[in-house]
Amino acid sequence: MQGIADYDFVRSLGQGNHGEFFLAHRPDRLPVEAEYVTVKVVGGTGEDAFRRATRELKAFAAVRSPHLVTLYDAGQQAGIFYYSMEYLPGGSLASPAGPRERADYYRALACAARAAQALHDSGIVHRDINPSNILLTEDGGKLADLGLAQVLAPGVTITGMGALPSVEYTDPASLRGEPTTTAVDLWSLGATLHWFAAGTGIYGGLPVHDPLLTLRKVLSSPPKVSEDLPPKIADLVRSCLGDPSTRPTAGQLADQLDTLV
Amino acid sequence: MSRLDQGSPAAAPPSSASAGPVVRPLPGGGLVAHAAGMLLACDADGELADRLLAALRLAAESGADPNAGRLLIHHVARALAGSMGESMAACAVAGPADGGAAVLVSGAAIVTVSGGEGEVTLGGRTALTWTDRFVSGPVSRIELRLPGAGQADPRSRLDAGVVPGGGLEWLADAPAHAASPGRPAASRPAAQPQQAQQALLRPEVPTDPRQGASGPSAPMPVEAPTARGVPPVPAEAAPRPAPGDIPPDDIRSQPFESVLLIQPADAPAPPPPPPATRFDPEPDSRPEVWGGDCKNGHFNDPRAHYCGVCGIAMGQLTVIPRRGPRPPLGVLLMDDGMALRLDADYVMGRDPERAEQVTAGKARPARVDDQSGSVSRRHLQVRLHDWDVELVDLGSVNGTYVMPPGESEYRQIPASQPFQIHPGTMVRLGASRSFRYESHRKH
Repeated sequence: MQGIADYDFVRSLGQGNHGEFFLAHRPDRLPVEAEYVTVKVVGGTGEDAFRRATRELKAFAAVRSPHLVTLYDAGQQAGIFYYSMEYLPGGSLASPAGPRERADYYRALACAARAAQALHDSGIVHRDINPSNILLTEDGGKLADLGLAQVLAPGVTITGMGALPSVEYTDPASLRGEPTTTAVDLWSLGATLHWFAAGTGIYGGLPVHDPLLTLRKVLSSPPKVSEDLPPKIADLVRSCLGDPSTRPTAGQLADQLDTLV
Repeated sequence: MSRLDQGSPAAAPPSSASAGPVVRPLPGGGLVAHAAGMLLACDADGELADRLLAALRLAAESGADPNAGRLLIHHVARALAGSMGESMAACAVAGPADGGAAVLVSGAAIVTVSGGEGEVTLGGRTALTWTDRFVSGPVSRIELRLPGAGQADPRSRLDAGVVPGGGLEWLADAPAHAASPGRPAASRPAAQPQQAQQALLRPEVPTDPRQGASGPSAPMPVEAPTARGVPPVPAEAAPRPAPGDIPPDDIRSQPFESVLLIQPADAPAPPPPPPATRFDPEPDSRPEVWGGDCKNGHFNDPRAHYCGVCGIAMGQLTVIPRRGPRPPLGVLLMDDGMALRLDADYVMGRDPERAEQVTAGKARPARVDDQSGSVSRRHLQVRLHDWDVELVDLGSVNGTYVMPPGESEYRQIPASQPFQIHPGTMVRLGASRSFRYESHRKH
């Protein structure tokens, strides 16, 4: 794609869970200083889905947190839905733009947890926290990209698109279609912590070449916390994966992460 | 053009007071016009420019009609349709309608409206046709912008008439003086105090119809049912394409619309929405079915011997049947990694959105496609019947095949007849796409 609406694309930034990210020049009409913006092209949606998604994004954009990525606009052209947000050149936990210290990961995750708490305080569940949605900044990180799967396609609990198997970071309860609560975001934060602290996912190796098998494995096998983790981190991960009613709040998790840096 | 100057009391007489709407020209190389709250900016050749100005004059003559904006769109669309040539002229118009604003844009022009839906932008860019839209009120600011337009001088005004320019800025209530040019978000008029909303496009109308029943503090009518297609628009206007009708490389030949999500720095914090409604965007529409509770209070299939949630023996003789909302019956795991929650019926296929069951709201669409085209547009319905999951092949060209658990070969199911499946069943649509019915409920 060369662009959408009045955004001219510079290059692709990779696949997200239900669309592709692009680096684009900022159109003059946007009242921000930045030279570049990130545009996510979600793909074909109906008119209703466009309205619902825009409403969700408006609610997300209204939440005040220094650790949430700033959204610019949402729109559609020829039925193709897109939204734009601030461009952060530091990359994500999944693919940092340059070498990073271990402590940077903890700091970025703590920031993402604080952002999740701000969303939760506003009655919003993110639903799609994973290493590629936690962006690295100079002094911490920012949480990006609300999970819109259920808004864009009702009934879809995971879209199956995307380069990373983000199903690994999704609470199986929400895959099964159980009512969404803030606890699902704690699962995702805990699984992300496990991934970079232990270097492996909570399901061990997943058959990524076979999405259906991956889903079956995630739904049928309990998560396993690596024995290589220091006890303090292992306990923190376990608390996030445990019974939803006993999981810490995102803010509590952030405080715990700060003590690890 | 002198007629534009007559009887157009759209803006208050010039004064230093801030009350009343103000129209400011933007510097630039086109032509801009204002008459009785009707706004036009265009960069068109002589003949088309004349016709567009005539359209504006016609609409302005309708006097105090609160829907004059619709008339304006109608006349302008007709003028554009009459001159559709090799490329679309840059043109933007706006006028009052139904308590909000009716806007139209073509070519490389852009319209931005701050109204009841937040800040909405419409653009034509390289589009081959124009786009129009109704934006709900109350409207605080409208900007028509041609390519290369500058910023309005805060001292300038165009109370009525036609002048050279690159666009127009209409403000429900201009700041007392000299809002700094440029575009810092904080100086945007979207966050005007309530009295700023009092005067809208047509101050000569005593009870402004655009005021509407809802003040600025009322909930935003995000999904106004009239938001699409401003009638009456001539039939020449191209119909909105459905997703997938346009090849990806061609979408920029279409108009676009966008909604600004940036929050002004001084915007008040939004009231927290009720948590229960935010978490699941869909209303809880689970149908009630007959079932029974286990000792731990989990609602179950009355035929079950063990609880589907906790696995405890049901003790069938002691379970009291009752009606209750049906829990999800499991998930469908698609071969591409998509998972569908089984709490409603689905229509699967290449183009399920237009299926009768979907448009009637009885089933959700699930788009399933393959390279070889062996999946029909509306291929298969997945139907929930009490506590059972059934397949109905919708007369697909290449058929639907099932492989129940424990079997090793697919067999075709008859078309148009319900076929019950059990957890562990694999289902194939046509030649290559398949899914598995999985249930965490124990049987």
